[in-house]
Amino acid sequence: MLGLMALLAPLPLPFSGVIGWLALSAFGLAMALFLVRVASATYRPLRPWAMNLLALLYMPVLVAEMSTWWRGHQLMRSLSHLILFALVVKLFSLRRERDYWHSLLAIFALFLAAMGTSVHPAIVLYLLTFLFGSLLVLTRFTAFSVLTEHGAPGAVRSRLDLRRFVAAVGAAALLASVPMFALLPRLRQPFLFGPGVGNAGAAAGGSFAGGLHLDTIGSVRTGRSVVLRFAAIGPRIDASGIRFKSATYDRFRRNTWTRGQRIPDQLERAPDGFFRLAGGATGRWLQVWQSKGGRELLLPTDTVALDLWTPALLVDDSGVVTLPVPPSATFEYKLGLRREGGPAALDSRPASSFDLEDSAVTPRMRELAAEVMGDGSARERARRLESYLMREHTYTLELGRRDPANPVEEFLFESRSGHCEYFATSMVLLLRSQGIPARMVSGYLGAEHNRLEGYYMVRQSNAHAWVEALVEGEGWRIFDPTPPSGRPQAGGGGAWQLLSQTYDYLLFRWDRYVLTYSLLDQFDFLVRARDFFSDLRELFGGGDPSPAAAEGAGGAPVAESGASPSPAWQWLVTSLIAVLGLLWLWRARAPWSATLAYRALRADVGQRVERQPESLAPLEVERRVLAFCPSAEPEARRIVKLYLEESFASRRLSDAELAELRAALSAVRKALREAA
Amino acid sequence: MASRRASFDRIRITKVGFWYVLFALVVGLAATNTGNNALYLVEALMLALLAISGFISRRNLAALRVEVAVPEEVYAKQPFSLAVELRSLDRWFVKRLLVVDAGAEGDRRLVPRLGRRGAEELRLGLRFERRGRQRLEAVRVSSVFPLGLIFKSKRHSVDLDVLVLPEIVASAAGRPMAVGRAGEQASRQAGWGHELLTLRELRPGDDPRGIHWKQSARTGRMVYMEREAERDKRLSIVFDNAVGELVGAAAEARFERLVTEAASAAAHHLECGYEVELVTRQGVLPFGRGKAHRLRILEALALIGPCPRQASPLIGRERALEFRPAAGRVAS
Repeated sequence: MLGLMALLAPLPLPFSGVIGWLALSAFGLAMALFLVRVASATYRPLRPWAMNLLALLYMPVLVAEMSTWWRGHQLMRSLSHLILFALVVKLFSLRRERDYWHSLLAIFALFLAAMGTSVHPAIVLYLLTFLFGSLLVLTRFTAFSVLTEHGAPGAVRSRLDLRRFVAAVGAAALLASVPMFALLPRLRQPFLFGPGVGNAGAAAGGSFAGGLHLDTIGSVRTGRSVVLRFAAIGPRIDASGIRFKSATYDRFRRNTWTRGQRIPDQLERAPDGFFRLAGGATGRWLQVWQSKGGRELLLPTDTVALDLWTPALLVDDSGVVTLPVPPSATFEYKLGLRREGGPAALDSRPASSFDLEDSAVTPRMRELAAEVMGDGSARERARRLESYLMREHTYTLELGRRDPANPVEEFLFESRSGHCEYFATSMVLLLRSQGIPARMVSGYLGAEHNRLEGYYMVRQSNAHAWVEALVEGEGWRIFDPTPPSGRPQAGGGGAWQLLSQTYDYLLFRWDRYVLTYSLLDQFDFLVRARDFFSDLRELFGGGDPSPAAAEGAGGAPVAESGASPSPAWQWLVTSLIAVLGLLWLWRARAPWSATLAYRALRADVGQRVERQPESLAPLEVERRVLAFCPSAEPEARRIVKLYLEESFASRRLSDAELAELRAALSAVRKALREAA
Repeated sequence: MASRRASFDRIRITKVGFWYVLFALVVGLAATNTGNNALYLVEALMLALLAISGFISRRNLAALRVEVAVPEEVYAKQPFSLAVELRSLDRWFVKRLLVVDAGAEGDRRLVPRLGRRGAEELRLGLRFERRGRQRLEAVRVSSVFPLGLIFKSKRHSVDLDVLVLPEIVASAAGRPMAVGRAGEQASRQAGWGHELLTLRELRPGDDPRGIHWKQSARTGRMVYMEREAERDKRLSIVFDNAVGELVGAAAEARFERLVTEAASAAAHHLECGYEVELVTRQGVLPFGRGKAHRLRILEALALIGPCPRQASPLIGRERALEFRPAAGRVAS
């Protein structure tokens, strides 16, 4: 059992990258050898000198690993290797009881490392296996030690029926652990090892903060990981045109977009408690869950208000909003969209010198721009250019061999095909060549609706690039020269999409309610509990409606999935509590006995004739019963006789006598009624 | 005798439990410090298991009824078997790995499994060191089930008074002398006298020394020769307990040794057919024989204690004349 648990313990570690598959394979081989030797009864523990020799041999490996740790190597990897090695040596040298305990300690350490670094929901299976394995080990160990201590034969153990017991206890522990998990105090923000399962990290395009090579988005778009999820508060929305802006870029050097030195402003909360990004009234609200990644918030371009846990935000002059500190897990915020629609956040911001930099523009490109854009207002000229690119060029992710010196020129004049980044880059450079400030924007366009819970998913495949240009008199406006066929589309539906959405639904639930469960959720839970009981009170005796119901009309937004429980649900819970209470009362009642029958007899006589004090002797009670109702003589005498035998002679009544007592009591009651 | 009430008297954490709690604390600290919810999951499961283990261990000892029965004769310093019936009144839970004991000096017996509403009878070896009224206060049922994390013990109060008879020893002083077997007067009752009472067929339990071998050989059946008992095969045990207050352990030990010798003498002589009388300062148990008389004498000796010194002799002059040293022995 110990060997099996040791074999199982490090299994998730290679999946989270803590150890390599090679190390796991070596460990697995050692464990297989150990199990074979134990099973074939050829196990011989290593001698102490052999253990010392092995430890000496491992020292260089440990030193090498620790030295690489200073150069950025994972500390977890070194520690895990050390524990694996120590476990193998310990298992091959089991002599005393404490060797078993040391092995268990090492297994537990590996288990903790595996749990702490895993984010996939499949870890639940691992946890369950470990739970039931540990239960089996503990119960068998307990039974074995007790039976051995008392010299009981080994066959007795099979009578204990431990397997069914372990199954029941394991299930009960699982049930009990759910409220325990919910109520354990959270003092820090949730921490995730890595970006989380199914989520895209910063490097995969969550923020594109490090810079944007011309092929970045093309490669990101092939991924299916989810960058963010959002839910509309209120009715469903059309998410096909929603643009989540991640970053803006103004410098194009060596085919890579970078950001100029922009000094962000600190944004404080407005008196209404929200961060105000732009003026204007809020219309729809969205609740957003963004994967752990960079510090940039992915905000729709028409965002005007933001509700987030952080005390302050940073906003640069291109309208990109960043967090003061990088989040440690998936984080959640609410945002209000402009009621009138259209981009809001950057209307009035002035252009910087970076927005006109055209060092990458060749004379040929400048000529093309002048030819295509012609004369007129900046808006008209930009539209002409946008239409030209959309019309004369085709969208493709298959780029083939490109001229590394100037791929944009090749796109414009030779291949005439590329993905959104080529279109947007070309438009920015051509606009700048004609004196119109412009910049490149990376982000996500559109979202996929998940029917199972009603939220929307923005995947890596929704990554997109577009253009912001400063139009005189109107401010910054969005232009998207990518042909509609090349823009991210929602999935086509069908069984595969349903499966994909189901999987994402599970991941979302796991991510939202397990991995990123936080103190705020606990407060939320308490508030909901308070509202629930407040509603219950209202249901049964009137009273004030819950604050949530009061706020629902026009106050703080309430999430679609966070609606307070319906009366039917409340009735169901109340009924369930009532049924459980009745069941408990039924279970807690005293078993039927002669004492109960005698007390019932005394109470009946008390009701019909006069109150019989408890201090009255049983035979006196019997006398009074007979004086009042002589016809009940045999039954009354029988009840008192059995009561005396049970109470004073400690006689255990048989089932037949207990049944007889019921009949006798019933007969006495009937006789008493008739006599009364 | 059934237990009237039961209460937990010992709850302690085992070595395994100590490590378990320590691990739970470490995981809790790690979870709180890192904010890693996977560690919170582990912590929640560990705490849930601990709570469920506590609940089950409590249920394991709950709804139990203990009934005890003491043998009719219990002697000091001699082990005896206490019959214990352990009955489960629980309709839902099966009890496992119950250990029953009746005190520090007694046996501990394991009940591996006690079904729903099931019962198990067991015998606990027990020993009282002192004669007299002793109290058997409780029977303890304990268990480390299910996970061996917590040891719980429940005390089932029985509050039973046991009359512990004096120790019976096989000392030479307590054995009947050979001369003691010689009586003077036939009593017309079966016994170990010299006169032949009757010849009859051998019955189970008869002393083989009484087989009349010649008659047996002649008739072809085993013939037993029953002799007459002699009336004055008598023993009067005079135990003068007016010794005043016993000062010191040595005095107490001497007093106890005398009680033991008196009881042993009475038991051995009664076994050999003597009529035995017990004379003490508390009173006189007149001559008699048989099991009931033996028990009366032993009970009297079990309860005897020192009383204040008195000047008058225990046996009056006229009474003393009745005792003839040749006819019996006087122990004092």
